[in-house]
Amino acid sequence: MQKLDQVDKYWAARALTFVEAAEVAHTPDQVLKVFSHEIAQVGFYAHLMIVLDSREFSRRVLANGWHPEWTAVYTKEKLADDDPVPRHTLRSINPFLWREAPYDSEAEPRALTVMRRAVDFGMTEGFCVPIHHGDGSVAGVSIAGERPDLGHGVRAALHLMSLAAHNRVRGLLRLGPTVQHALTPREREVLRWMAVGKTAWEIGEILDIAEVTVNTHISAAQRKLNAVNRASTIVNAIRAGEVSLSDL
Amino acid sequence: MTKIHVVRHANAQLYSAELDDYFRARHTVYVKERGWKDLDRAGGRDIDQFDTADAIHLLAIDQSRVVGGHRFNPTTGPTLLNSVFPQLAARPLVADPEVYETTRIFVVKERRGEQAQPRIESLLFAATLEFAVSQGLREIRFLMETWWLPRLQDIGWSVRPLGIPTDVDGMNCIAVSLAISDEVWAETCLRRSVPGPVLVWKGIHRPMYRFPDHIQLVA
Repeated sequence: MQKLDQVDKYWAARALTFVEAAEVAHTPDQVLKVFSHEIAQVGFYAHLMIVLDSREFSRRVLANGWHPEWTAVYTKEKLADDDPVPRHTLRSINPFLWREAPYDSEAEPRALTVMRRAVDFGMTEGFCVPIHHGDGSVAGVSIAGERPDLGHGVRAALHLMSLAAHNRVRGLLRLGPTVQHALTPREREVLRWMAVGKTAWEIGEILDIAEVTVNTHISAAQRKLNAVNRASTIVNAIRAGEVSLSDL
Repeated sequence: MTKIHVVRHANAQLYSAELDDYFRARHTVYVKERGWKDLDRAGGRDIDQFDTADAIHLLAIDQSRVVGGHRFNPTTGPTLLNSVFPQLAARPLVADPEVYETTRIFVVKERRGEQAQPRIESLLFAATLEFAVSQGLREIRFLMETWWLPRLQDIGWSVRPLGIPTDVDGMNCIAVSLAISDEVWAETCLRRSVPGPVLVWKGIHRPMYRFPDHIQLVA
């Protein structure tokens, strides 16, 4: 079993901080902005989150941080069909480097072409994290750069950050676009006080309204936020951006 | 139907035959199938330093035959993560009476991948949460293969990584903590077709708890 050195510890702390940040991000763009920033620290400049099935490339993309021209070439020339990386993703449970994805350069000249042309877009070295869902579907998070740092601790951190980013982006996309401020200002105000631990009675005193009215606001917010109880109402409100942690 | 029995020091004598069956089954799964040579013991039973008087074993028993299991250890005593793999946690693991660690979840080979619902694996997941709720636990910690993380999140488990993925005997593993709540128990039962409580408390006190069927879930 490998030993952790100081570099690994640094990356462990950084990855765990990212996991927490991803959890409270309320749009896919927010998640991807922080993710891009983190991977750039170790020399990765491109990312792609994709579902692996038989649909056409553009319909399977959850997030695309590739060079737009590369996306255009990749789509137009249907390079996905010959790319050895997605194929290897289906067969792997653990992360791998692009160059570890096997192909026969004699029998599959187009596979070689894909890998060479990726280099033209600065994607010399790539790292891919396979995601195998319980329902049998498979997805992948692929990141690439020219000369990225691929130390042990860095790889482990990239693995965890890729899983966390994917989980959050997928969750947010499935929820659909959040209705901006579905809550009324009063409901938000009540939730903000609830989030800092005030009881319904106390909130009533603070806002000078009846306790029963406070409870009505909470119930309405709970329903709108699809929450199962008061604790999850707060969590969902933060996730949906209805209540910001900086308000508290 | 298969039931999950809570077996601890206090009622172990009622289960002596089943416990023996259970330790043999663990040996078969972990030593023979998975090849964890470190666990190999003469006698063909996987019994390690964490099978103490404080350990709690959940035994999946179908007509007196052990078909699966799971082990709990209080984090106030020695556990796999706090005594063997502390480096898998980025921050020191605090001993907490409301936090247990689980290890050795398994289903015997013949009963894996059954199509009939609920599957043994589902019963064990539900039983794990039921036991955690019954003891008033806040969290359970465990070590698992990293590729399982998205699968657990898919079934609605709020799993928090305690460290980064690390190679353990050639397997990419991660230490995680699962937040326990009535909701996660109810949701797991719903998603895994487990109709309700599955634990049997023979010869020991059954704590006060009830199935959270009052919770309205969005399936």
